[in-house]
Order: sequence, then C-alpha cells, then structure tokens
Amino acid sequence: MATPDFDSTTTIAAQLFDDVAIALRTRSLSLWFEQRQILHAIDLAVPAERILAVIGPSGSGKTSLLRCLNRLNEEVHGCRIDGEVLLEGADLLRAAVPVHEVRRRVGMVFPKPDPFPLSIYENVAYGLRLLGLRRAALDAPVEDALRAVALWDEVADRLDAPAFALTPGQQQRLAIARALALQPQVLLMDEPAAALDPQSSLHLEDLLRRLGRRCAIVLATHNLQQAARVADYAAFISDGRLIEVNDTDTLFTNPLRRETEDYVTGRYG
Amino acid sequence: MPTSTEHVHLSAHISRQFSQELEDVRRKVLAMGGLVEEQLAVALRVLTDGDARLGVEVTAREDRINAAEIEIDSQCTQILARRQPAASDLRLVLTVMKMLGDIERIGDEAKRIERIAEGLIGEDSHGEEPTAALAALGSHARDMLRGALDAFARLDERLALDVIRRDRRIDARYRELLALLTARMRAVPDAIPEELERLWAARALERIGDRCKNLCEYVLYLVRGKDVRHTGLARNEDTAGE
Repeated sequence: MATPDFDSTTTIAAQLFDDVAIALRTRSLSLWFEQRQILHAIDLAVPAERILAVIGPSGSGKTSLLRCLNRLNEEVHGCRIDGEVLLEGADLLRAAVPVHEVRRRVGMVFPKPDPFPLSIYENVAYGLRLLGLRRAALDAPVEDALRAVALWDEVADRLDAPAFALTPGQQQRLAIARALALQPQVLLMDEPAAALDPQSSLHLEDLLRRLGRRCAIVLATHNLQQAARVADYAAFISDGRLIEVNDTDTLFTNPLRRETEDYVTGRYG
Repeated sequence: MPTSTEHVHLSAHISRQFSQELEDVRRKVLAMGGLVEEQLAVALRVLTDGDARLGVEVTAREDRINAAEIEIDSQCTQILARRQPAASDLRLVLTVMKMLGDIERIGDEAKRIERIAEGLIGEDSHGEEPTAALAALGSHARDMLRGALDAFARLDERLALDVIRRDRRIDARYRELLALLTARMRAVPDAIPEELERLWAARALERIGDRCKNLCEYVLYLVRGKDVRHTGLARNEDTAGE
C-alpha cells in the first residue's frame, strides 16, 4: 500500500456537529478495485438536513465514496469494500437491507442528466411504481417532487412529453425530482452541475439550498466556488483519504490543515 | 485535536500569474507604507528642527500615497473578481484592502503634523519642553508604524502583538503631554493658540498609534484567520501563538 507524503489522519473541527443530527455515517470505510486501494478508512458523518460538500482533486475518490454510500460500487468487477455505512444504526453494506431499499433511502444524481426514455411524468413515477404504488396514488408524489425542483410550472401542461425534450438544466432537475419522489433521507449528488451552463448551474444551486432543508445532501464537486456557495459543511478528500471536515466558511477562509489550504488556494500540495 | 495551519505560507500557486499578482500587491502596500513612514519622519523633523524647507515634498508625496491607495485597491478588486481567492489568499487581499485605508490616513495625519510644525516655526521661544515631548511621542508612533509594516512584511504575529501593546504607552504619553499643555495654557494664556496647535499634533500622533494598532490587528487576522478586533485578545496575550 502506498504511503502518502502527507499526514493522512482526518482533522475534524471541534464541536462541528454538536448541534446537528447525523443522517448517515461511515466507519473506517475502505474501498479496493482489484489490488488498488481507492479509499482509506474514511470516517465521515453526513449531517441531516444539511449540505455537505465533498471536495478534492480529480481521482481523489469523491465519486467512489459517493458510490459506496448507496452500494453502486459493488457491481463493479474486482471491488472490495471494508468498513461500515450506517443509516439509522443499520449497516447498509452488510445488513439484510435490500439494495433497492438502500437506493430508495440514499438517492443519487449523476453528473450528466440521465432521463429514462419515457415521459416526464413516468420518469418521476418510475421508482414509485417499483415500490408498488398504483397510478391513482402516483399523481400527488409526482407533482410534489416536480414542485420541489421548481419544474412543475414549466412542465405541468406537458407531462406526457418525452423527457428528452427538456433542456439539460430541466433534465437535471427532473433527475433530482426522480430521486426526491422516493423521499430519500440522503441525496448523493455527483457533480450535478457538470453539464450545465452557468445560469442553469446557479438555478440548480438555488434548488440545492432549498432541498438541503428537506434531506441530507452530499455534493461531490471539484467546483470550489459552488461548494463555497451552497454547502453548510465541507469535507476535503485527497488520495482516497479524508483530510479535513469543517464548516464551509472556515474551510474556505481559514482551513485547519495545510493540505486543505494548498488545495483551496490552488497551490502545489 | 485539530491541528492548525499555524501560519500563512505563501508558496507558489499552480497559476504563477496569480502568485505574482498577490506578491505585487504585497510589495506595493509595503512601498506605500514606506512613503507614509517618510512623510511622518519629515513631519517630525520639521517639528524638532524648525526647518520648513524639509517639508517641500510633503504634498507631492501625499499625491503618490493617494495614487498608490487607489491603484492597490483596484488591483485587489480585480483579484477578488477574477481569482475568487480562498483561505490565506483571501485573507491577504482583505487585509490589504483594510490596511490601505489606515495607511493612507496615517499619511494624512503626518501631513497635518507637518503643517502644524511649519506654523509653529518662530512662534515661540519657550517651547522646548512640549516640543521634546511631542518628538518623543512621534518617535513612538514611528516605531509603531515601522513595526506594523514589518509585521505585515514578515507575517510576524509576535511583532504585531508587541506593537499593539505599545499603543498603551503612546496613550499614556499622550495624556502626559495633554497635562503639560493644559498647564502651559493656564500659566500663559497668550500662548493658548500655539499650545492648541501642539495639542492637535499630539492628537494626530496618538491617532497614528491607534491606526498602527489596527494594522497589526489585520496582520493577526491574516496570520491566524481570527478577527481580534474589539476582543482585547491581542492586548491581553502575553505570548503570540500560544
């Protein structure tokens, strides 16, 4: 195993989560693909009804971490996971929690909008149907989810139109609505604005601020300004190691760790 | 326990241009501070030597100080807009923007002292004692200014704390001088206009001490990332960084 040339322990600001409930927690979470270790004993708390940004350079393990949290990695050949992902005391990795249940409670939004080749309505209703809801019971949660992402007013009169007819920004909001319809406790967002123009990104950020009061959001991004604008807390990850967790204001003005300082100021680490 | 980044480190950015921009701003602030130091030194010499010829450059120097303030301020705005600096870079830019105002006003105070000193030339043949006291006060103020600029140049929080503590001594000397001038006014009412001028000069020096204290508080913010203004923290701390 490669030894990092920096202090690989995690620094968490004192009293950081004293006043917030924790929605999800990882304990010594490590991930390997074949012989290569991607994540190193990550202990991360995800506060409920807050936005936690996970920042770090490309290849640092942000996406891998997110994918561990709702068991997307386990389908990858050669993947091995160690440690725990605890949601309400249950280990999502080991307990007899069915994977579809994990993904209902821990939703995921990907960098590129990925609408199903279905209508706008059916995209949002998709997961609900899998849960066994019948058509009559679908309308209300679909409308609620579309309203939550501020898409309802734009699509209410064309719910049967194909989702591909929407703009990229609208498609991404649709993807979020699809996840929200299942009322997840945690919403994982992997570079959700990566494919959006600056204006759509700002709309999305505005939306995140509102959703951050509805469920826990983990936002993986290499857009530091975006993390600074929307997140309540920020975690810096480097080389698969969690380096610092702090409130966003402090992390971007006076980080505790030099590695974080180097990263947020764009210095050679 | 969380560790601390301890002190600001200004190693190279991935963008060399950005490093240069920040370094340029830092250098210009120090140059502007140098001009103000000169302004104050000249004012004090006019006061002690009674030679008005020393003051001929004061207005021109003030123009350069004002121009520097505007230029650096504009550069900082550009950096904020274009680079969106974070952490120690952000603190450096914010510190510089705050320092500019205080440095410029120290320059104004120095010019005021120089004008007062010119006005006092030849006015009074018995002003040795208050002049000496003013010179001593001025020397303290100069030391504080130099210390504040050095603390910024070297990001030296010990020195910054030391300068902040020295402000109390200036305040004490100012009060002593005030008592002296008041006594002189009572004794020789005809000399009240001159003593009042000296009082204004003393007041200006005391204000310079206050502004140097401000400068050092900004330096502490830059180095530690904590705002120590109005906390009494800087004054009460015996040793820096502990």
